Amino acid sequence: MVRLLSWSSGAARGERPDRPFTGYKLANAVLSADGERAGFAGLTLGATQVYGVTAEACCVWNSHHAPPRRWCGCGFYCLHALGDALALGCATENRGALLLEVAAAGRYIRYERGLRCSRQRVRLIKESRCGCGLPGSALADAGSGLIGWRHLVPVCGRCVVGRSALTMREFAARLDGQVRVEQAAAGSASAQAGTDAEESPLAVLSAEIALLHARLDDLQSRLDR
Amino acid sequence: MRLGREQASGYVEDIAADPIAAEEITVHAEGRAVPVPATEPVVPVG
Repeated sequence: MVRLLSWSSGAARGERPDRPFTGYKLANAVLSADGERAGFAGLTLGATQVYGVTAEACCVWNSHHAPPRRWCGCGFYCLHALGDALALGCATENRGALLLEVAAAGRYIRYERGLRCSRQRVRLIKESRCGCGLPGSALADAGSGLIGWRHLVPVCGRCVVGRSALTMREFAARLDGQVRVEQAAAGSASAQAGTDAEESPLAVLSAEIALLHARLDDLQSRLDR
Repeated sequence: MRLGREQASGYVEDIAADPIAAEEITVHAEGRAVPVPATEPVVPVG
C-alpha cells in the first residue's frame, strides 16, 4: 500500500507513487456524426475538447507548455472523493453529465480535494440520472453538440421512448478502449424497459375503465331524467 | 467546487494496477511551502 503524505509545512514536490490515482469526475458523453465512435467532453474549459478512454491533456490557452502548469488551469481534473463528484453533479449545469471513475497519471499536481494531471484513463462509467430524476439507463441525443460530435444525455426507460438513444453498453462499445459500465447503470435499461412494457397496457386499460365509468355515469344521469 | 490548497506534485506511470484510492492520501490542510495560484482551481474544467 502506498501512503502519500505531504509536508505539514508545505506542498511536496517530486512525488513518485508506484501506481496512478483513483479519481472521479463529470464529463459529457458525445457520439460522432456517423454514430460509429463515442467519447467524452469536458464541461467548461474543456467543453470543446473530445477525449477518449486514454488521453493526454493539452492546454487550451497555451500549447507551449505541458499540462498541468502550476500557474495555469490546464490538465485533466478529478476529485478524490466520490461524494464530491456526486455533489458536483447536482448543479443544474452538470445534470446531463456522466460520472466517471478515472485513473489519473502522468505529471500531476495534487490538491486537498483532487488532482490536475497530464494523463487520464477512464475506467468506469458510474451512475447518471435522467432529467426526470430516475436513474439513467440510456444516452439520448441532447440536442446540442460540437462539430462532428453530438452531445448525449442520460435518460431513463420512460423518457427514452420516441428518442434516438444508445444503451450505456452500446455507448461503451463505441469508445476507443475498454471501459466498464457500472452494473446499476447497465442493468437498469432492460429492467426499466421491461417495466414500461408491462405498465403500458395497464395504463391503457385504466384509461379505458375510467372512460367507461364516465359513460355509465352519463347514461345513468340521462335515465334519471 | 474548488480543489483546495496544493498538497504535492509529481509524476506517476500509467500502469494497469489498481489506482491509489482516496483513503490512501493524507491531506494536510495547513501550511504550504510553495506559492499557490491566487485563485484555486475550480472543477470541472477538463
